[in-house]
Amino acid sequence: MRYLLGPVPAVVLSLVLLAALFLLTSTAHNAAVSAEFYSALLVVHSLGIIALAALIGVNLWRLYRRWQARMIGSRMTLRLVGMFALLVLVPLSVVYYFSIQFLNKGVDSWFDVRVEQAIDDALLLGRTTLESIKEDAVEQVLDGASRLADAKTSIATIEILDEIREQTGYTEVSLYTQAGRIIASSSQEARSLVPDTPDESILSDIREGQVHASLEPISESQQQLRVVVPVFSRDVGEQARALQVLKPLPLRYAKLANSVESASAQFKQMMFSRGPFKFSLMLTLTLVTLVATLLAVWAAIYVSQRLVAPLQELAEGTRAVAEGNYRKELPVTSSDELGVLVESFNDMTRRINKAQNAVRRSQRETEDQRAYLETVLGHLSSGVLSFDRRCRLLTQNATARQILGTELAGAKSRSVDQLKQDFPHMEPFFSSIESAMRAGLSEWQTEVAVFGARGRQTLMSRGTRVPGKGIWRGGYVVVFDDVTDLIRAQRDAAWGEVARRLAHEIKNPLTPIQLSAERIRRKYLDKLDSADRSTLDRATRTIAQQVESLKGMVNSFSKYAQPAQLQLEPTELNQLVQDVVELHKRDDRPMSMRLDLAPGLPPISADRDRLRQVLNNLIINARDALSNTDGPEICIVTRNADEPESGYVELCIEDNGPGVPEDMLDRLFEPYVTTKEKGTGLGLAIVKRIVEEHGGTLWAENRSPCGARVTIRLPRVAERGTPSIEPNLKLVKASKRGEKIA
Amino acid sequence: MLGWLLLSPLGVADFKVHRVDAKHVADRLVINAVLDLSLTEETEQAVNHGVPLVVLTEFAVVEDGRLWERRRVRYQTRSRLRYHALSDHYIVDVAGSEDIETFRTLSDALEHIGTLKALVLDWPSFTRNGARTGEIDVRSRLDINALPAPLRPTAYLSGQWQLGGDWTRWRVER
Repeated sequence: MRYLLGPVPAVVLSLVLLAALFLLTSTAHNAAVSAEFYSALLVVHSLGIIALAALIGVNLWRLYRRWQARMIGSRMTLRLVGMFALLVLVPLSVVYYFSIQFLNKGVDSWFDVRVEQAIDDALLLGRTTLESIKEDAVEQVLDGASRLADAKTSIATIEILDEIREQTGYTEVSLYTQAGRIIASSSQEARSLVPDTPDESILSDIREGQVHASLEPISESQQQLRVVVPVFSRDVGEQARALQVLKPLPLRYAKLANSVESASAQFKQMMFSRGPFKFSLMLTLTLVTLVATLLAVWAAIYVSQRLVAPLQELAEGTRAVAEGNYRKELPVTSSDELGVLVESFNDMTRRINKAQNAVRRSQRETEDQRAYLETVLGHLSSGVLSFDRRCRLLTQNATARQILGTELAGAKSRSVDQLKQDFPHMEPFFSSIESAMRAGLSEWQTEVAVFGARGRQTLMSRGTRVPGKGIWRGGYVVVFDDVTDLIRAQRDAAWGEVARRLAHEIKNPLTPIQLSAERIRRKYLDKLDSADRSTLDRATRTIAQQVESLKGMVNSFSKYAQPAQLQLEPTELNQLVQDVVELHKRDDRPMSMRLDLAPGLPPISADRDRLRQVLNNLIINARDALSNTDGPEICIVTRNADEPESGYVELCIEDNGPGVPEDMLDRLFEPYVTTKEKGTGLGLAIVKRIVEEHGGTLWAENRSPCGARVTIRLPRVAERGTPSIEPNLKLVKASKRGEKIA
Repeated sequence: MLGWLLLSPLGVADFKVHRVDAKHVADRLVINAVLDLSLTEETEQAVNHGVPLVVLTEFAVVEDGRLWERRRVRYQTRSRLRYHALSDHYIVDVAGSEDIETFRTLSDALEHIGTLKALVLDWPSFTRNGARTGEIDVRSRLDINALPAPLRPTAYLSGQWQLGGDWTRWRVER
C-alpha cells in the first residue's frame, strides 16, 4: 500500500496519461488510426484519470485521517496541499474557461455568414446558368421531337436524329419507346455502341408527358446535359416515344461549375463539421486540463508531504526529547536549510544526551556517596544532626534518634526553636546547639545533661560549621554521644579501684593489729590491777571488734569490686518475687506487703541467687525506710515494659515512706550513699551492679505524694529459651537507653 | 467521458446484409449480395452537407483452426457516396474504378451501393478440397476512418455514426 501511494505509480500513471493524451491529439486527425484504437485510447485515458483520481483520493483520505488523529505535521500538510492546489487550480480554471470561450468564438468566427451567403449565391447562380442552358437545350430538343413526329420510316428517323445531333452539337441523340427500348440512335463517338439509356424515373416522367432535363456528373471534372422529351405521334392511339439527347457541359462552364460545386461542398462540409470540430477541441482541452489538474493536485500532495516530512520528524524528535528520549536522532535526507536544521537538531540531542549521561553519572555518584554517608552515619555510635544556615533540621541518623529517644522523622525542616518546643525534655540540648549556631561559632563542644522519660542523660556534643554551597552553605553538623554510661562506668571503675585498694591497704594491717591487741591482752591483762585490767580488756576487746568490723567492711568492698560469675537461666520473675516475699512475711514488724504481679509474664534470663539478693536488699531498704511510717506498705509490681517489642520486663518496689532526698536521687546507687545510721552503704550499689550484670537498668524516683520507687528493667528470655541479648551487649544497650538516675 | 462513450445514443438505422447468393464457378465463388443500407439522421445530414460517406463491405471465409475457427477477409469493396449540390444528384463511386454513378435520390444511391453483383471470391481451400459446403461471413459498415478529420472524434463516440459492423454468416454449397 505504501508503495502504491508512493511517487513511482503516480509517475508511471502520469507518463501513460501523457502518452495517451499525445496519441489522442495526434491521432484524432490521422486517417490511419482506426476507431477501435481511438476508443481504446479514450478508455485508457479514462481509466488513467480514474486511477489518478483514486490515488489522489486515497492520499487525501489518509491526510484527513491523520489530521483527525491530530498527528504532527498533518495540519501543515493539508494547508500546503490546499495552497498548492489553489495556486494551480485557479490559473488552470481561468485558462480553461477562456480557452473554451476562445474556441467557441474563434471557430464560429471562421464561418462568416457573408461567406456562407456568397457560397449559396454562387451555387444559385451556377444552377440558374445551368437551368438556362437546360432550357435552351429543351427548346432545341422539342423542336427536333416535332420533326421526328413526322418521320414515317426508320431511315427518316435516323436521318432526322443525325441532323439534330449535327445541328445542335449533341454527342448522342437516341429515340426510345416508353418502356425504354431503343428505336434509333445517333452518336458522335463511334465506339459508343450502347446508348446511355435513361433510367426508369425519367421514362416515367416521359409517360406522363413531362420533359426531363438534368445536368449529371460523368467524371470528377465533367458533367453532361441529359434532356429527354416525349415525341408524340401524329397517329391517334400510338404511344409517345422518348427523345434523349446527351451533351457534355462546355469546358468553360464545367470548370466554373466544378469550382463552385467544390467550394460549396467544402464550405458546407466545414459548416457541418463545426460542431463536431469544437467538440473534439473541447474534449482534448478538457482532457488536458483534467490531467494537468490531477497531476498538479497529486504533485501538490507529494511535494507538501516531502516538504513537511523533515518538519514532522523534527516535531516528533522534539516531542521525544521533551519526553526525555535524548538518544533521538533524525535522518538527514537533504543538504538544504532543512537538512542543516535536522543536523543541528541531531547535534543538540547528542549534546543533551551527553550532558544527561554526565548528570546521571554524577547523580549516581552522589547517590552512592549519599548511601555511603548514610551507611556510615547509620552505623556510627554517635548521633549526628545537620542544620541549614537558618538552624532548620536537615538530616539525622538512627543513633541520634536512639540517643534522644525521640522520633525525628517528622521534625525535618523544623527550626531548633521549634524542636525545643516539640521535645521539651531535650530543651537544654537544643538550646546549647542554638546558642552556638546563633553565636556563629565555627566549632564548639558542650556537655549537656538532660532528663527525660528515660532518666538523666549526659550528652557530649561537638558542632562544626559546614563549608560548601547550596543548602549546605552556612549549615552546621552536630555530632553527639550519650556519655552517661561512660561517666558512670568511670565512676564505677574508680569506686572499684578504691574498694580494691582499701581491701589491700586496710585488710593487711588488720591482722597484725588484731594479733598485737591479743598479745597485749594476754601479756598484760593478768599483770594489771583491776582498774587497769578493765581498761585494757575494754580497749583490746574494742580493737578486736573494730578489726572484725573493718574486716567485714573490707570483705564487702572485695565482693563489690570482684566481677561476678553469673549462672543465667530462664527464671519466672513472679515466682521468685513470691518466694522472697514469703520469707519477709515472717518478719514480726507490722508491715503490709502487696503484690501486683502481671500474669503471663515472660521468663527472664537471670542468676536466681543474685536476683534474690537484689530483692532482699531492696525489700530491707524499704522496710528500714518505713520504720517511722504509719501504715507501712511495700508494693511489688511486675509488668512488661511499656515500649512495644522492648524485650524487657519491669520490676518495681514501692513504699509509702518519706522518700529519698532529692539531692541523693542521682547518687543513690553509688557506694556509701545512704540515709541510714547503720549499714555499709553498699546495699544499693550491689543491687545496681547485679542488675547491670544481668543487662538491666534501674532507677529510683520519689512517688507522689510520698514514698519512693525503685524500678528495675530486666531482659526477658528470647524464644527457644535463650536470652534475647547477651549480657555484655545488654549492658551496652542499657547504657545507651540510659538510666533514670546515675 | 467514458460514460458518455458508453451511453451515446445508437442510431435507429443500420447496415444489414439482406441476402447473399454464392455460386461455385470454375474454382471460384461468384457472389451476389443484397444489403439493406439506411442512414441515420446525423449521417444523412452529413451527406447532404457534402460529407462523403464510405461504405465498406467485407467478405471473409471461415476456416477451422487448431483451437478456434479463423476468419480470413478475402474480398472487400469500398463505395463512396456523396452529394453533388449543383446538380442535386447523389454520386456513387467504387474504389479502384473510375466509373461513377449518379442518382436523383439518396435511396436510389444506397440501393445501388447495397446491390453487389458477380463478386468473385478466391477460396482455394474450399474449391479444391471437395467439401460440399462452406461458410462465409459478410459485413457492411460505415468507414469512420474515411470521414473528414474534424468529424472523426464525434463519430468515434456517437452511436449515430456506428452503422453496421456485425458479421453475418452464410452457408455456401458447391
